[in-house]
Amino acid sequence: MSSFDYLAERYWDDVAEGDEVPGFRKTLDATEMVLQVSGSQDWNLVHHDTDFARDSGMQDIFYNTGWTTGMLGRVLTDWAGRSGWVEKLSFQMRGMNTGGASVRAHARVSGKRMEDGRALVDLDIFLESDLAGVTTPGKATVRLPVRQAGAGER
Amino acid sequence: MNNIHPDDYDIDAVRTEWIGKLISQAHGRYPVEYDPIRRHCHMVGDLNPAFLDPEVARSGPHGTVIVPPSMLLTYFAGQGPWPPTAAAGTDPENSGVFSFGVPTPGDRGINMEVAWEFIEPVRVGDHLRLELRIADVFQKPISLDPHAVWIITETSFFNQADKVVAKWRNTMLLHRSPEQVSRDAARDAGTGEGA
Repeated sequence: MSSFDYLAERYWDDVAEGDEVPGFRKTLDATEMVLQVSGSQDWNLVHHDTDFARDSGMQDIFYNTGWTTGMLGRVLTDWAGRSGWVEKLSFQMRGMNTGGASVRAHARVSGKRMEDGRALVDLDIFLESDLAGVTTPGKATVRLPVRQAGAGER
Repeated sequence: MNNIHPDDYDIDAVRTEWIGKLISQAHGRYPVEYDPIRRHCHMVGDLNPAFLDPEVARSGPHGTVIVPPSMLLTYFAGQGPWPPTAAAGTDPENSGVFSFGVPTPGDRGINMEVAWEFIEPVRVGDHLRLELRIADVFQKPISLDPHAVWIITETSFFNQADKVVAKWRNTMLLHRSPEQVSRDAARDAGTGEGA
């Protein structure tokens, strides 16, 4: 069982620009390759058929958009706490996450602001492979509760 | 399989015909369900009980399990696995599944960029539909294919109350396989043209 407290609240007041979100790491073994197809239901051959991937000019199969979104989204929902709400999530798939790699999903707070009564935190997000460096940089905006009653609540 | 030789490809005509076109108005085959959310979470090692445990979710801010923002909503707004395939009983009517029907020289697709905006929670039991439009089409070379085509789509997701719950802007790259590039180059060699 995980000892991580998923249900704790994270308050906007307690977040500062530059805060690091350590995230988590996954090793892309055969089981992970199968899980990405199972979880995403993305049957595109380029994500599970090595021959097809190589015929397409790729070095090997690479992990799909559903998995990539899942990894980066999990960093945010792990961090945002029970009442946090991910408003925006965007990323560029500049490099490929391939079998055998160890991939870390993590984030860094790039700013915080109040907008129309919403308490928002902006983050830079990353998938970083030990084989290929930062494969997937992105940005996200998360709405958090505030300690003061009335402002920034959903 | 697309077999348009790059010399025969008219990107201006494609842009005129396809930009702004409504491509899909898919309705989800099933309502939003617990187990696909579980499988998604387990794909990335997410053990968050707010997404996995209905009892925990009941006392949370949304009153029930919601779809995590990390899960593609196309899962619940479509007919089954993507791309459509005979094995799932959803064989496409045309072969341009990666290009959304937009003509392209190549038939191999790679997703390049994704931008989501999440507006309303999507709860277990909701019924989703989507509307997908072509926002832009352009050519930009990559190392594999100097005639690669980039297609930007914009998709809005609606719930059963017809409220927009999320928006998705996506950039897909369509390229030729090395074999296709060689075949096209062979035609050029025969005609003296350059692709």
